[in-house]
Amino acid sequence: MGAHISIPMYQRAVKQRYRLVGLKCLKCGKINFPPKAGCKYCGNFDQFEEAQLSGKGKVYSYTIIAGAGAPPEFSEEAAYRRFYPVVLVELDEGPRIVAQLVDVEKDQVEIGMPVELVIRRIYTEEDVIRYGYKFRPKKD
Amino acid sequence: MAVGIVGYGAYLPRLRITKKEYQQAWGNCAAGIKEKTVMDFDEDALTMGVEAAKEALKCGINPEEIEILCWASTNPPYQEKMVSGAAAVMLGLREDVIATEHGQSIRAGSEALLTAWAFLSAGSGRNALVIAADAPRACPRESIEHGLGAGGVAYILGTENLIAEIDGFNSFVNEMLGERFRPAGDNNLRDIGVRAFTFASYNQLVTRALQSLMEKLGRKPSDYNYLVIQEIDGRSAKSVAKKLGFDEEQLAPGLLYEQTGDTGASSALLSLAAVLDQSKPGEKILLAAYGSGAGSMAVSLTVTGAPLKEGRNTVKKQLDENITYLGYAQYLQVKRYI
Amino acid sequence: MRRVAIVGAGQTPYGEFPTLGVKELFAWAFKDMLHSVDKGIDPREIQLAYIGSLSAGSGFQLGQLAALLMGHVGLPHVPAIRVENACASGGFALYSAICAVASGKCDIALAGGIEKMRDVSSTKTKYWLGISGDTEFERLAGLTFAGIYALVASRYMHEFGLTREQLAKVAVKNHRHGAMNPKAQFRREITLEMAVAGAPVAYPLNIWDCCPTTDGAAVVLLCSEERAREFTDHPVYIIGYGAGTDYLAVQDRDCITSFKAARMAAQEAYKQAGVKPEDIDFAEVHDCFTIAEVVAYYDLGFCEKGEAGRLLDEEATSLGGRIPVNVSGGLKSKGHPIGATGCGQAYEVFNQLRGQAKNPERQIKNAEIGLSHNVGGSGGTATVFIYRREG
Repeated sequence: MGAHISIPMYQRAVKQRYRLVGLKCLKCGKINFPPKAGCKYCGNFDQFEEAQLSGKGKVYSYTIIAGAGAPPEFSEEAAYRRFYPVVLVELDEGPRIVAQLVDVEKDQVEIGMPVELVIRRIYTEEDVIRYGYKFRPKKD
Repeated sequence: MAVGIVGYGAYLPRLRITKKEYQQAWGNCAAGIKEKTVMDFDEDALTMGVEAAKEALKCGINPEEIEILCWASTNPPYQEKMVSGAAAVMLGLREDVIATEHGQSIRAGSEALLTAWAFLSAGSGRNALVIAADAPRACPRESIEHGLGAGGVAYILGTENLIAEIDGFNSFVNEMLGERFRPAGDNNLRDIGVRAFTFASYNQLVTRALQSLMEKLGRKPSDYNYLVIQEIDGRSAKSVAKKLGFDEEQLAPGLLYEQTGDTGASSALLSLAAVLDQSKPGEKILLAAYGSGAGSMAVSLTVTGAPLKEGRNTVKKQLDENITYLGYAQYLQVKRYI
Repeated sequence: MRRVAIVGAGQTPYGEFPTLGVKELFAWAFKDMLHSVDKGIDPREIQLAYIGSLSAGSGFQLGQLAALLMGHVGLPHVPAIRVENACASGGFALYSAICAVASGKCDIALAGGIEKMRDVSSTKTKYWLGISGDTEFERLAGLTFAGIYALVASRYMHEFGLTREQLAKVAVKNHRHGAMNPKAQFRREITLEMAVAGAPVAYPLNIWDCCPTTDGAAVVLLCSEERAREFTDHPVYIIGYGAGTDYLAVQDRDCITSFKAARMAAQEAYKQAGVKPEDIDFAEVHDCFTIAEVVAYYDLGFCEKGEAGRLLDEEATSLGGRIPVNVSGGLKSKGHPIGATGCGQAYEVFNQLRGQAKNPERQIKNAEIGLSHNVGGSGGTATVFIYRREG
């Protein structure tokens, strides 16, 4: 069938997906997310500690995926929503991450808008629900 | 040692469907709702519960200080599979948290609350997190479906800086056949469609719990500022309250059904959150939960005075703000009925 | 290192060929290449083959595809290597073959590429097409490649004021070019109005911003300078070749409006060739989405950062303009059989430089130096080649 993220593979990233746990480089102090073996910022290879990201950030770029433009895992959701936004978010701590934006109308999405993390179902395959981070417009 | 509520948070999904949509689709709406809450396509009891828990944790308790986790839902994401672990990872709780999971009836939320209370009273920990979240389902052709809503609520119980102290409780059970149930292996709620039969069970068990707890504590209806009775429809709670001699002002702050529908295991505790949102120190709250099949529970609380967090996401705010209305066809899709 | 020349190139028409499999498509391109060698060649002279492919017929032969294809054309004993770098597989096959000849390891090498994409439903296609980004963190955010490029486009529009019309001009131009190319998949012009108003795929990109899925194959015959004249009096020399790589996921990159992998590849190629962007007479550029061509203008030094829109407004990259881009029709109109694309670009440059563009109206006059640019995924990998006609 083609590419497929196995359940064990998904399991290995649960801490990242459920809670945005990154790796803080003890040499340069910056947080790598997703975790990397070599620090993206200074190349350090062996001194890291886990660091929780706040989940707060701003939209760096975005797209509105139309039904047919959705990956197959998302086709059911796309059929219901017709459109769904995906954003590249620049987190307050620096890393950028891609995720869906929820609780928003498609004409409300704009670059620079403040967003916060929310945990939602991403998709379901083999009857196993894959939960993970999405974003929504920041409240208050 | 006083055990009580140190923090709480509610979560109502932003989607709604109105009574009118049901009337247009089916000719009538069998539930006493004006509108009701609906989960989005990517939400379930776990995600709603986690949202509520994050709101509750804003009281300042660090997730690592939570030693007890009691979860309740009649519609967890899986029929069999622990939910606590997922919630714990999402919230950053300790791995050695004492976890219990409840869900045999919509009384489950209140059972979870009392379970947490019991652990704390026994000295098994200092802080407990109670999460109740639910979105009951039934076949869309059945009138019982019309009133089913969705919501989540969470409480942090502790022994210091209490918002409200739990000063008494009780529990009753009885065998009551057929008034609301889900057969093994079926996702859809049923009833036998005899409203008076359901009400008789509800009335008997809820009245019994409330009366006996007031007796035990030497109190009468007028000693309470608020009465919360788990709402299974738009009328029964009002009817029981009236018979027992409570007035409308005592009951009104906790009535959510008209705007949320039946939020299952989270229902009574959501109503309690709405009451706490407007409570003042010294006030007393009496709560009754009901579980079909059947059982009831009553809990008495005294508001103690720890200040509520400013700018918190109150139940009222969530009932009234940032709402998106669905048409009936979208509702069927988002509930995955079709 | 030795100088390397192209002495032959072949390509199937790009399109939909339900009756032909990968073996038949490869043989077609191979035969087309043999016929292009002016003085002829005995195929058994080929000493090494690199063949680019992402998924080899939608995944049926992921292992050892190169051996399968070489066996089919009667060359089972030519050492053959499958190269995979997503949409840049063909470019990296060519890069590898050039390095093999340049290093002296062999004198005559084949670089090829192939993809058979139209045998399966669009749903199944999405399953394997979506594997060339960071699957775990991009596709699982609900993005296909169109979505990733849409993120690039939104940011580009935000930072540089690129308009929706300017994006559409890429599609209009490439369709105009492709209409003249007998080997293009879509030989049909489109209007600006159509291109702006296409069905949405991933805002701001619509269906006209996206290249099609395509069946096709292309092969290029490489030869050391020493032996080139045995096969032709008009060899095309590859005077510069560069490769670049970047974080696979766009979320890991500091800048998403330019692809560092492509800039690296271009810098390396320009330096080696000893030419500047203004010396380039025409270019075949990786326009899997319209925004990709926009991004490429800066990455290849054809304009300053953010100035791509102006280039399009001035029609500088149209046939007859200052630097024609994608006179073949590009991926957009000519088609994008993923693994074949990098070699198909070389095929076009080879023919243009030798005055053999078939259709005289699409022949670039007196071109001496050409360039091709092949990008993997959303900029995870890239190759750039600079070619010069000599003799």
